[in-house]
Formats: sequence, structure tokens, C-alpha cells
Amino acid sequence: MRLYNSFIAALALAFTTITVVMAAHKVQKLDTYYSAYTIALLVLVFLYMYFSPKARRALGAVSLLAFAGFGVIVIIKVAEVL
Amino acid sequence: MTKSSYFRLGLVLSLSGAILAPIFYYVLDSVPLTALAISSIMLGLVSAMLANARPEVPPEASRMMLQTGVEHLASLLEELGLNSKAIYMPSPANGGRARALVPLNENGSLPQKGQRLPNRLIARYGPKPEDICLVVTTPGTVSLASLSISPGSGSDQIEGALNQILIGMMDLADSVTVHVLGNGIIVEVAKPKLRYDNVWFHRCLGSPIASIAASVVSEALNLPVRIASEEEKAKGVRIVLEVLDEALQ
Repeated sequence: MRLYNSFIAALALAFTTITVVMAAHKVQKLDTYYSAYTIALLVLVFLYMYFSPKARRALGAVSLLAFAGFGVIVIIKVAEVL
Repeated sequence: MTKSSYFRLGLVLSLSGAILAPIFYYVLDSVPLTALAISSIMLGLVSAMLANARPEVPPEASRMMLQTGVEHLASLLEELGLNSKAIYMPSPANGGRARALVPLNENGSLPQKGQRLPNRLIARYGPKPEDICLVVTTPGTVSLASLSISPGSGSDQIEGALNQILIGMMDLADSVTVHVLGNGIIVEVAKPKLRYDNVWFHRCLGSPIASIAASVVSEALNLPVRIASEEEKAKGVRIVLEVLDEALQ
């Protein structure tokens, strides 16, 4: 399945690039990395819109899980500010 | 990759990420490496979930079955000596599968918009005595069943539906673009895995990819459609579809 392979390769490349760029900028916060990964995942899921409905449901579940983690980070940050 | 190899990859990435993340964080005290381990967990989850979404029947097996069906239909057409181009009809309004008709006489009448085809192999479709056709189910008409909703009539919607079938479900091409030109629709398919051959079946019903394109366009426009031409290009194949609407002609 060329589309699946291409999606996994694109995601791996995006995660590696994010890590390298952020490490080069000496980012030392895990939540920043995680937020960037989540955004990359959501963007790629949106770009690969031609997956079968079954695959889109599966990726939707992973995206939702990642977004839930992102939501937790946002809540913690808001609580810190308040 | 097979279904299990996606799952194995997912399992290896997730487990190694889960084991390495605390080591990198607490022992090595490295945030970038910990982040990399977290990204490995995410990648593993994606791979494992995609394993479950992979079709039960591998595309290679589907392609073999498609070839068998095509050869049976080709034998029938060749035996009957039919060489007129097939007309792809949309599915009837009251349900049922879209099908294609192969007229016995190429100069016969055109089928009417919304015309119902009888559920039989040989049928009459027009008022003239020579308006007899062979009603067949093609790869394209079967592929329509895989779409959850009927495609809209805009070129973007047709393009989306074709991309979903040819790339997302069947893995038969790299990309599909659709242009509307008068009463013709041009479909450009990049890197198709099935090509047009100058054989009886393809001359009559088009290549499997053109057949799928014609069926989707017919369903989207709710009008009969005929494959006017298929042209090999450097980057793929260019399919010209003719919309058979008397109001447009």
C-alpha cells in the first residue's frame, strides 16, 4: 500500500525534522515538542484525505488521542497562569 | 508491507519508545531524546492503527480477481463480435447497481437520462428495432459500491471521489485530476498501475481505470457517459469522457 507507506514515511520525516530543529534551538520543554508533533500529525492526516473510510476512522482515533494530550497540556498551562 | 508487518512495526516503535522515554528523561536527562521517543510512540500507534484499516483482501489478490473478471467479459464480447463503445449509466434512482450497456449497433439511439435498464444480460434500450444492448457490470460500476456517499457533480467532487477509489482504496495510481471541457470530462491519472492495451475488452469498455472514471462521472452527473479516448502520456494516462446528454449536444 503505497499510500500507507508514504504517510508513515512523511510522519517520520516530520517528527525527525521537528526534533532536530527544536533541539538545535535548544528547546527544553517536552510539551512544546509534543504540541509540534500533534500539529504535524493533524496536518498530515488532513493532507492525506484520500484514505479509505476505515483508515480515516483509525487515524481519526489516533489524532483524537494526540489532541486529548495537547488539551491536557493547554489546561495545565492555563491553570499555571491562573 | 502486509497487514501484520504494519502491526509489528507499530508494536516495535511503541514499545521501544515507551521503554526509552523514561531512560532518556530520568537517566540521560535529555529532553530532545525523550521527545524523539514520544514521537516513536505516536508513529507506532499510527502504524498499528493503519494495520487494522488495511483491506482483508490484499490489493494484489484483488488485481488478480479483477483480471479474471475482465478476461471472462472479454471472451463474451469477443464471442458476440461486439465492438461498439460501452455507455456507462448511473445507478437507478430507486436503488440498484450502476451498469454499462454495450449497444449491438454503434449508430443506434442514445439511452435517455434516468432510463432504467432491465436486470438481464440482453436488453432493449431504445425505440428502434436495432436498439438492443448487452448490459454488463464492469470494474467501474462495482467500485461505486465502495463509496459511502454518491459523488457530487462538481469537478472537485468528482476528483475527490476518483482519488478516494483509485488511490485510497485500490492503490491503482499516484494522483487523479479532473477538468471539465464543454460536454467532455478530462481525467488525468498519474502513474497508473493498469494500462490501456489494444485488446477487445479495452476497445469496448475501456481500461479498468477508465471504466472506474466513467462510472464515477456518470454517477456524479447522473447522465450516461462514454469513454471517448485514452491516451498514454509521459506522466500517466489522459482519459477523455463524453457526457451523453442530448441537452448538451
